[in-house]
Amino acid sequence: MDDELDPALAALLAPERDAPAVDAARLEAVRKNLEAAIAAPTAVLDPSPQPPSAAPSAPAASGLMRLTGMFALGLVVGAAGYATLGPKPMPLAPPIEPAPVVLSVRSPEPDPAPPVAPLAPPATSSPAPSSAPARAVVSAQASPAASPAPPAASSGVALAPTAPTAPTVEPPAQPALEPSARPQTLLDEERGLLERGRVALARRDWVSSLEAVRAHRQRFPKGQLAEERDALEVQGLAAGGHTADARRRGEAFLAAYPQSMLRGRIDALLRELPR
Amino acid sequence: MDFRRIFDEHASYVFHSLARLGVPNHHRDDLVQEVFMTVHALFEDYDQSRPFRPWVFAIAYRVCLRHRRKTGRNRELLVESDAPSTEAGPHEALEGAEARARVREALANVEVHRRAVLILKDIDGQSIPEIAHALGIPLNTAYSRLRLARADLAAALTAKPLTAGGAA
Repeated sequence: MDDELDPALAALLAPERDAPAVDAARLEAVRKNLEAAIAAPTAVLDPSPQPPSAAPSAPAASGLMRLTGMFALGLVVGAAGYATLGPKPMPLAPPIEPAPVVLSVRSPEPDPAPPVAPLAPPATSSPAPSSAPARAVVSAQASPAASPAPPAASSGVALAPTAPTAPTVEPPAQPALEPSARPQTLLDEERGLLERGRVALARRDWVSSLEAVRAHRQRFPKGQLAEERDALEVQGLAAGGHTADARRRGEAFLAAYPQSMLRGRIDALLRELPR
Repeated sequence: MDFRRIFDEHASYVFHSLARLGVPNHHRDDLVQEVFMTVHALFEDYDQSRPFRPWVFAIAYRVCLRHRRKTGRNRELLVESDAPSTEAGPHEALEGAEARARVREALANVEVHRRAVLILKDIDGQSIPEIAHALGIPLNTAYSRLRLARADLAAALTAKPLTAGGAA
């Protein structure tokens, strides 16, 4: 196809091709503002979340809001499904060992009572339950079929070389409750990041939403909520008008998570994207 | 990513691109910031085997479209003239600024989606396939927009002739 420019037009556009650099002081001011904004992403993300229905003015946005709400539901359902269909953590969980540690691997929700009960008795021995979340994950992954695991004490040693120091650092004020709270922290952190992304998206602040997605990806490249993160990213890109990127990511999402509960939503979003 | 270097290398380009897309001078600083916030957020998605400028232009273009929607400004006012650059001599700078102001005035008559293609092709010198990729449009659409943009521009120039040297 002929895409040669008429020489007269080319000559007329020449001054634009040679446009000089913008005033350095002006750029410097923009750069400073920019750095401040980037350095404090939480300042942008944290403020009181407005209700998702805050500004449904644009027609595209209202669809997006709807999607966001549905996404929240999808997160819960999807995570629950993941826990059931995923790497089957439950058989590893049985009662003998620091059960909450094992449960923390894949349980998407707080998993309330069962894990706590077995831990209540050991109040007599040294406050061993102070196993850090990181260790908790390691322990669970390192012992895939360890139902008849060694006694509690020995496993504690094996998993936690720093065990003696930990109790002194953290006063075991509530030894029975601490362990049950801890295994949730990584997942909570993941969930918190994505929540920030969703809140930002609901505010139509898709830049902050994508920042949260990126932060999640850096912190949890293969996190338990990676699927939700990837879906949120597609939504953020679409909201920002990055149609090509949204399409590409959306298609990658559908390929990567063919069984996803969010598949229908992403599918619909892709269909709505302008060509 | 050396974000500072990216900003230093491309900030002027983004400024000019926004001006060509019809963003008023008093909004440009904010929008340049928004563009680079987006660059920062999306940099992972940038395919480094492709040229950077069409990619960053596409971001500027979308930021500009959103700005237009927000301000309800689908038809542009005449382009304000920018302050002449201090880097050239005063005479050349003034002349250059005037010439650019006229070009931008003519560009304002070109529908913005078409204009984006024209800017990338006829000012930035990008290839049509690259433009189509950056803007996320089919190749034929890119060609078609370019053709129509040039026709719009030519019509604007016929209505209000310009000369290449900048003198009206």
